[in-house]
Amino acid sequence: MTMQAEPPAVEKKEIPNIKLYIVAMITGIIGYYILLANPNLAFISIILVWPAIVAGAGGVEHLCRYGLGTGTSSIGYWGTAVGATVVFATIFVSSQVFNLYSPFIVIIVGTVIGYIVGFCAEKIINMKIPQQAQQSFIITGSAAIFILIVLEVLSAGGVNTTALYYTFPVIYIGTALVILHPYNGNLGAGENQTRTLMLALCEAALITTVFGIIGVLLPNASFIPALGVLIISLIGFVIFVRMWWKKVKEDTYDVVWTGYPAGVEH
Amino acid sequence: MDPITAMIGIIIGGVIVGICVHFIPASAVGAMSASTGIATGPSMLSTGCGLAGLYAAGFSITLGLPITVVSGALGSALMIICTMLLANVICAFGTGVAPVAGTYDKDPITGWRQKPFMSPGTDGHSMPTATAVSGIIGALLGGAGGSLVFASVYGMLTSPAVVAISPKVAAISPATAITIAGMIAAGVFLLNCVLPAYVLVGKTEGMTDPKMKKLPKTLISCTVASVFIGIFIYIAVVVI
Repeated sequence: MTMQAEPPAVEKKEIPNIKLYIVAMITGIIGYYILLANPNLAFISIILVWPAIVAGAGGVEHLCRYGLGTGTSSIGYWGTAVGATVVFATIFVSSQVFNLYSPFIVIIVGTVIGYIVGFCAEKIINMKIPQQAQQSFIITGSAAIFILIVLEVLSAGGVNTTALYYTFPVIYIGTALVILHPYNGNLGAGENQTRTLMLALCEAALITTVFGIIGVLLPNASFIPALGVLIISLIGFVIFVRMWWKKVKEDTYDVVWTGYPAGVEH
Repeated sequence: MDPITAMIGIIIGGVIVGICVHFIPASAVGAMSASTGIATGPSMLSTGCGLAGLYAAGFSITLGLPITVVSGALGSALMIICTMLLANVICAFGTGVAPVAGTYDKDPITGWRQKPFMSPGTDGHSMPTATAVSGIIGALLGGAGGSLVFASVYGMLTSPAVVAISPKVAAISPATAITIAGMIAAGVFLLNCVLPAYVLVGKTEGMTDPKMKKLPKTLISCTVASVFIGIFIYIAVVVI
C-alpha cells in the first residue's frame, strides 16, 4: 500500500463531492425539522437522509483513490468516529438548544473537526492528496447528520435520546460500514462514481431497514415511526438495487453465474 | 472528577493513543509474510487492542481512575500478546518462516542475528523479540490512553458540578453513563489512531522502525485534533 504521487485518471463528468455534501446537508436539516414537527413522518426524514450516506461514500471514494496509506476501512471508521462522537456528546446539550439547533451543531462541529484533521494530514503530515481537508469534512459531516437523524427517529423526536444508549454501538458500526463499503465493493479498474454512489444508495436504504427493524422491536423506541422507516427503506432498497444492477450490467461485458459458461468445452 | 480536569484527561488520552500506534507492529503485506508485523493496517490493529482495553476498563470504572487506566492497559496488552503469539505460531509452523525484522542486523534485546533467516525479497516476517516488546509497549500505551479518555468522560458525566447544572446528565443512570462514555472513548480512539496511519503509510515495525522519527508530526496532529474534540465534549456537556 504505497502513496501514489500523480493523480489517477478521473472521468470529467463526475459530480463534485462538495455539491453532494451541500445537498445532503440541506435535505438532512429539512428531514430533522420534519421529524421534530411530527415524529410519525419519520419515513420522509429517512428518505431525506440517504443523500448523506451518498456524500460520505463519495468522500471515501475520492480519498481512497489516491492510495491513502491507511485502509479504506480505517478512513470510513475514522469519519464515522468523528460524526458519532459529536452526536453522542451533543445529546447532553440542554433540551431547548438540542431540539431546535442540534442539526446545525452537529454539522458545524463535525465539519470543523473533520476539516482540522484533514488539514493536519495535508499540511503537517504532508500527504499529497488534493482537497484532503475538504473530502475529510465531507465524510465527518455526513456521518454526523445521518447518525443524528437515525437517533432521532428511534427516539421519536429526541424525547428520550439517552434511553436508547444500547443502540449507539450498532448505529455507529452500521453507519461506518455503509460509508466505507461502497468504494470497497466497487474497487478495481472499472470503478466509476455513478456505480459507487448507486451502491451507496442501496446500502443507505439497507441500513435504515435494519434501524427500522431495531425500532420496531425495541420497547423504548417508538413503533409507528420505526414501522414507516422500515417499509419505506425496504421499498427504497428494492428500487435502488434494481437501478444499481442495471448499471452494473451496463458496465460489465457479461454477467455469468457459477459453473462453466455456455458454449465452453469442459 | 472536575470537568476541566476531565477535559484535559480526554486531550492527554487522545495524544497517548496517537503515540501508541507507532509502537504496534502492523503491516498490510504481513499477510503474505513479506514484512514484519501483524497482517493488518496499523490503525485497525490499534483500534482492536484499544477496544479490548476499553472492555477491560469498563469493568473497573467504579474503582477509580488509576485502576481503570491500569486495567485498560493490561486488557489491551493481553489482546496484542495473544494476537502476536498466534501470528508467530502461524508464521513459524504454517508458513514456515522464522520471526525476523528487516531494519536491524541483530535484535537489540536478544542479540540474535536477523539477516540469515530473512527470505529474499522480503522485509522480514512475523514478530521477533524487539518487535514483540514494542507491540506490548504500544498496547499498554493505547489501552491506558483509551481508558483515560473513557474514565475522563465518565468522570465528567458523573461529576457533582455537572449533575447540579445539567438536568439531562442528572437523569442518566450509571449504566447509561458507562455506555455513552465508552462510545465516546471509542470515537476519540479511532479519531486519533487513524492520523498516525497517514504517517506510517500502512506499515511499521514498532519502535525499531525508522518511521519513529516522524513521531513529532503525529504528536502535533493528534494534539490539535484532541484539543478540538475535548473542548467540544466539555462545551456540550457542561456549558450549553
